[in-house]
Amino acid sequence: MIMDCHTHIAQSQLPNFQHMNMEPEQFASHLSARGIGKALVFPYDSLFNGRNYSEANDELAAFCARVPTMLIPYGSVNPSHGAAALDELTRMIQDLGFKGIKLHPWIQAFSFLANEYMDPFLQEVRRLHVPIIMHDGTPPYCTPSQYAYQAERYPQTTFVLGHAGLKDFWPESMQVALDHKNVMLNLNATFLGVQHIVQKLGGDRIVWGSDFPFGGVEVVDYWLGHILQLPVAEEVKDKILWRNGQVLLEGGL
Amino acid sequence: MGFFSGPIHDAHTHLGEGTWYSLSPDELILSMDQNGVVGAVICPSDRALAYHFKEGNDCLLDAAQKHPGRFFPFLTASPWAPEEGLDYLQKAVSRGGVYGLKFNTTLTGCSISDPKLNPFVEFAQSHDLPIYFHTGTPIFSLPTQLMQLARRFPKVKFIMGHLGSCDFWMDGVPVAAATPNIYVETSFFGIAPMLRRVITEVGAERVLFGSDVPICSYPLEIGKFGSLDLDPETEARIFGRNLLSLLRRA
Repeated sequence: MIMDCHTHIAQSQLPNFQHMNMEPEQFASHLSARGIGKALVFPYDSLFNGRNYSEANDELAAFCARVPTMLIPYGSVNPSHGAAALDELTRMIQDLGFKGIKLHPWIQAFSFLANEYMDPFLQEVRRLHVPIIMHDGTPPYCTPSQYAYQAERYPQTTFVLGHAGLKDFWPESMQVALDHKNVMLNLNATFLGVQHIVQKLGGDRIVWGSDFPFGGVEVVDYWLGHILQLPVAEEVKDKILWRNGQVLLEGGL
Repeated sequence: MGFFSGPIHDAHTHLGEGTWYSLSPDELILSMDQNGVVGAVICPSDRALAYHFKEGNDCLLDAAQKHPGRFFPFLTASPWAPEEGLDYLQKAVSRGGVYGLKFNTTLTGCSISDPKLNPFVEFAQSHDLPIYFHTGTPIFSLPTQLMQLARRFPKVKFIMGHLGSCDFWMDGVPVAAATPNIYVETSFFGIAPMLRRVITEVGAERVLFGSDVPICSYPLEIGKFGSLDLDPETEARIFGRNLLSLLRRA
């Protein structure tokens, strides 16, 4: 069984992302055809355009409710929105039953280091005891070391680097995971980077996700291949593809 | 994997000792043979692209001599030391076996469009050599910086490495479509709808398959084209014919 720890709602109104749109049942069937039994699902358009997060989170809840055994919602808010963000954060976790939070600082246009709003936000996250998964691997707001700054200040919260640094930042993401035991990596590094990270972390605190349906269904095969082709024991692959991800359904590490 | 049965020519690999890898010519040949790759552009490793220029270039030229017909060396130089670099390149070109230049301007610390690169581009123009640029890494390796350079030198052919990935994936196709002397190379670019668009909007004749081995994997980089259902003519172009004509090996 495989758990996909990085997918997005397949409903976009953005003109350049129309390829992503499909019904939840079709979305689920693309994943289950590849052995994926559970998927964390994040919002999409609301990250870009900052529109009403409550509405977007409601849409996400409705999307996932169509295939409830498989699709697990991780909602979003914009921490820089202050009190409104805190209200929606509490609502989506407590009322909607979301299991975690997705943030994408560069497209949401906020700094992870702006403690004026990040402290109240991260204190509420700590109280709610849910993981945060963040886009990472691209400047200016989404580099692993920027996330490490808050991971050090909030050791009880699980921070998941959503791409393990991608092409340019995977060595930095690996170092952040080594330095901070509350950091997990979702592996979308180069194949070389994936090999080094898995070896260095011994397969622990590593999960897998595809970013589907961004990039089409082909991205699932592309990224899954990065794990399936690893020259490591099946047990390690099983940890990455399934077992390690289970903590993300139960509040984190 | 396995959908394309013709011979593959690879527009991007690295050879030698790198920070995170070590790949010998024999190991690369083995990997190529296992994946149906008959010829490959070879580029220096990161340490050679950043500082140990001569070591990296010597390694490529030696490898090409030992494996005739399999490797196409793309040499590098420091934009900060044009006289030294041009001296080496001039001697190498007169001995033969140089197929292009490669720069990773993130590693050398100047923008792709920095005038410090002009002497090398002029050299490439006078010897009819294409230039491969790593792209996708801010602040020095943007597709739009390559567009500036390509406009300055319209007769030189440039290769946009990685098609601007990761987060400049939205820039790669518009830049290449607007700039006839830019070719695009596909390693670590996994966004299928954009790969389709690059073929229709830029044209299949300017798309080059590249693996970035040993940083990326042959089966994954080749396999990602399988689901695009390209016609055999387009596949043959992308998997080698375009590269061979760019290298004047057609």
